[in-house]
Amino acid sequence: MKVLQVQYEIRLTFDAPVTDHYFQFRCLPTEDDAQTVETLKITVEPACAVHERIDGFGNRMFYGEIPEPHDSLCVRMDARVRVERELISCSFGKRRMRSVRIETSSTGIAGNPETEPEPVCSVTAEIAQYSLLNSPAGEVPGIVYAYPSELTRPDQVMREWLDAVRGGYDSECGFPEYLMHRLYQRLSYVQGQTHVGTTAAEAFALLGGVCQDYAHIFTALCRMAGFPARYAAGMAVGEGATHAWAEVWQDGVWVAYDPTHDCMADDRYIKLSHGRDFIDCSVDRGCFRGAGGQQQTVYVKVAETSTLPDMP
Amino acid sequence: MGIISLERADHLYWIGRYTERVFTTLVTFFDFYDQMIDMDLNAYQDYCKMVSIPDIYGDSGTFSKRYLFDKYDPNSVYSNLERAYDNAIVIRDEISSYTLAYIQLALDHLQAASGSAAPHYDLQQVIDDLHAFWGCVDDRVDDEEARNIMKCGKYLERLDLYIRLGYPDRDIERGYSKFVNRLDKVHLKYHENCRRKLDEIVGSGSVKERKDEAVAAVWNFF
Amino acid sequence: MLLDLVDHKESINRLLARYGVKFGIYKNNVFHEQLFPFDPIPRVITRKEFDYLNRGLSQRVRALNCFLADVYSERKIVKDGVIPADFIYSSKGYLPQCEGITPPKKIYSHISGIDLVQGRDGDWYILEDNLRIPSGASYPMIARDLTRQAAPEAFTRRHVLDNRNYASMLRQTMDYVNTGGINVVLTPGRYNAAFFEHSYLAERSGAVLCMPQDLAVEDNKLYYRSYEGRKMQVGAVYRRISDEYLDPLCFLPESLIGVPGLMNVYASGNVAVINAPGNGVADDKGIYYFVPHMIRYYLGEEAILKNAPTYLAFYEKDRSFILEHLNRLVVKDVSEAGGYGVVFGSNLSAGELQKLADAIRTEPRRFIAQEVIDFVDLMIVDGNEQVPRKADLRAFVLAGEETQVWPSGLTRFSRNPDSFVVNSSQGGGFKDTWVLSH
Repeated sequence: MKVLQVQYEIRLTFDAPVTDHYFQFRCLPTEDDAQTVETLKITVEPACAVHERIDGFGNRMFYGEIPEPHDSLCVRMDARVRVERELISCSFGKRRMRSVRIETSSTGIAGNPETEPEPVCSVTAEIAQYSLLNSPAGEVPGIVYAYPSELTRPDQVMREWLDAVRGGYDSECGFPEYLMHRLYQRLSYVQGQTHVGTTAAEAFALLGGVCQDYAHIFTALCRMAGFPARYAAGMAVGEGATHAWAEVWQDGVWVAYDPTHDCMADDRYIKLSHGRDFIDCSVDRGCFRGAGGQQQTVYVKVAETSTLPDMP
Repeated sequence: MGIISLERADHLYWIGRYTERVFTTLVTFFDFYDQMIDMDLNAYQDYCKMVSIPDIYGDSGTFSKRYLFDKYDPNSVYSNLERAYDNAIVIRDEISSYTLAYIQLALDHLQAASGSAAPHYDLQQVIDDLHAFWGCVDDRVDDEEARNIMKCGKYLERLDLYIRLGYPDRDIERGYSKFVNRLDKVHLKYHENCRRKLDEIVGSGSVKERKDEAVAAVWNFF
Repeated sequence: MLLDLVDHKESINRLLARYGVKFGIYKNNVFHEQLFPFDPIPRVITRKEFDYLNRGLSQRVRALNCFLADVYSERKIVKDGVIPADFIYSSKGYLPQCEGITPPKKIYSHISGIDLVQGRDGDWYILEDNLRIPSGASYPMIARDLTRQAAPEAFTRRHVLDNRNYASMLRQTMDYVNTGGINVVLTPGRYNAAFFEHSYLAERSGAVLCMPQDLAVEDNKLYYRSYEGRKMQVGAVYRRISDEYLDPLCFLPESLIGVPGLMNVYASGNVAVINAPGNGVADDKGIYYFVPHMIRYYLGEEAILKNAPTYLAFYEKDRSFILEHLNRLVVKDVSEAGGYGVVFGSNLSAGELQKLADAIRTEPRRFIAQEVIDFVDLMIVDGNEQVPRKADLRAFVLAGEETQVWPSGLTRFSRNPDSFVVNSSQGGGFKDTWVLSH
């Protein structure tokens, strides 16, 4: 368990004033068995009324509009969040079980792994391979995440690679974890060769990309292997950018993997949203009337405020 | 329902303008056509100048055909009537199917007239349709403000054409007073200085002398 | 017996032209408006037969509404194993954005267009359900109006139920779910194939026809804005824009014809959207197979109206049947819409049959197969004679306080003697549908 102090700020600046601006943000920490929001403060500049609701995926979002001319929009979120992801939470609360024990000894954080110490994770767990076909389908809360989505539709190359990986699977660990290790060997972290609309298949063909691409590829492969999997967007301890990882439905719980760092996503990760892929998790969606360009800057900081000993 | 969106106000105004453009143009065209039969073969050139459209026609025969019926000439009567239709069809619920039908009929009759050797008589049918259209507007468009916006468009267009085509001062004065009468009943935003200028020019009966100024004031009115 | 109508074919068509009864069509990316060819000989349905159809169709729509409510909330039908999850969650029509949203009065499909045909055996068969934005009601409605003007004597001796009440049925449907405010018909604009219908239904039902730019969200409510700065709250939107273009904040971000923020207002219960977004999951060709199961599951009743005999390649038993009888079945690709992805086995060469069989084996979930129904011909006027043509019926079922069938419908026919395709875009025409009062 960790208590994290989270800061997220996004600032949109327009070259010329815009009007009739409708915005919608998904940048509040999710609340589930893994995350408890202790304090939360949101500031929107210019000041305006906002409304909040839970979207179809279970994410909190808030929205509003600014009809008057303005040349910037800034949203800032400050929160203190208690994270107990290591207990492997089941958001749907039916079962609470510790199906994975994770030992980490690392300070690795989100961002470019080349500039960070390599995270050392060893996962020792018995995760029964889960197959959709062996279970009454309705029993899976994550059934929506069992199928390909726009950015996670696999192609023949991925299918063949997955078959090859299956062939080499020795069942020392759960299949998703094995898959993550193999994927990590295959992909390299490269900035600039992919963009927000790059599909899993495209990034797989390029043999790499950024965290979004890792998460998409991993999600797509897990689904193909029969594990419902979802894209997770958020941040990790440190200062810098947002991060993306994946959650896999295994044995009645969502297990969080960070394929970019080849480790489990633990209590140092703060989740803001999850969905079928990046599109469902986009932090800001908006439209406005106005000519000229816009710039976007994001500031992210996550710090530990206290660390308690691991629960037995 | 007594509430008219910006988009809808625009359509109402332009139906007024385009139907009137077709109407007054046809009526005037008959006069020029009459001249061109045996008096002044090139009368159409003056006409083009007066209404500020490019003379792409070359001779009076081509002018009579293309200016009336050519779908690809953006200044033709047909094109203007089509624009009236485009604006009307999107507000069927406001003006009613009965009213809309008269623009459809005018289009059909105009098309039918294009095949005629002496289109005069057939064009009269189009003019009849437009009379019926406005009669139907008074009868079927329940919202007074909607009717007034249409008539703002109609009378401003009429004023514009009357000034350009050199109609007598009396006609222009009448047209102008019809226009401001409607204008004061609606909430359209307009340029006050244009109105002052028109008040002055029309009021002093000096439209002929200050024609360019008057045309500019109409052009910039909204 | 209907000679008086046949004689008036020309005058009726002239009236239809006068009132602009057209549909739009794109040819080489250029928009054209075409008159929708009208045949004066109506399809006649007796009162007794209509009562039967009414029971069967409203039963079907009630079950489909239960299904939609279930899919987007508890998913009981999946948990109970009645419908495999695959058929719901991998369907393009399933929109997870709609999970957890309860529409006003829990109605999802307010206006359903159910296509059916009458077989030579006299039985009716459902061909497909259209629960998104089915169009067509306006055509028989205006045709009736004009036919009565052109040939009044045809109606004096017969007792035909007036179908021009569609406007008031539609209005009641909108009023019933209206959350407070005016009713609007939201059209993508004049270059939409069904624009005539949008404008005509607005006129007749007293709703305001509006384009997306006329509407704006403010403080979690939807407003119609006036040109001089006033605004009026909107309580029900009969939208004729498809789901993905409805709200750029929720669906396709590049949509220029949507109303930004509309889905938030809808999710907050502050406006009714007719029909509900996400209905595509229930009118998918794969789900069609399960509708009789739904009726049993949700209503505890047996389906009154039959589906065309359908086989699902997903089930092994059905699959082997399909592969064995491929040359006599019609195979449909469930991921395709409209008339696309439909193949008649009898039209295929041996090689093509082999290819189709391979595709079915590789991706069984994608295909359904149906027996070809030999449906009855209706007579149409062709020059000076009358000839038989294939025709279907689109019945309109309106769900408000009650679920009921409009006593009429759009009868579409193929103008080509060898064709089963009745779509207007393929040159088909339409007939009025008369329901007799006795």
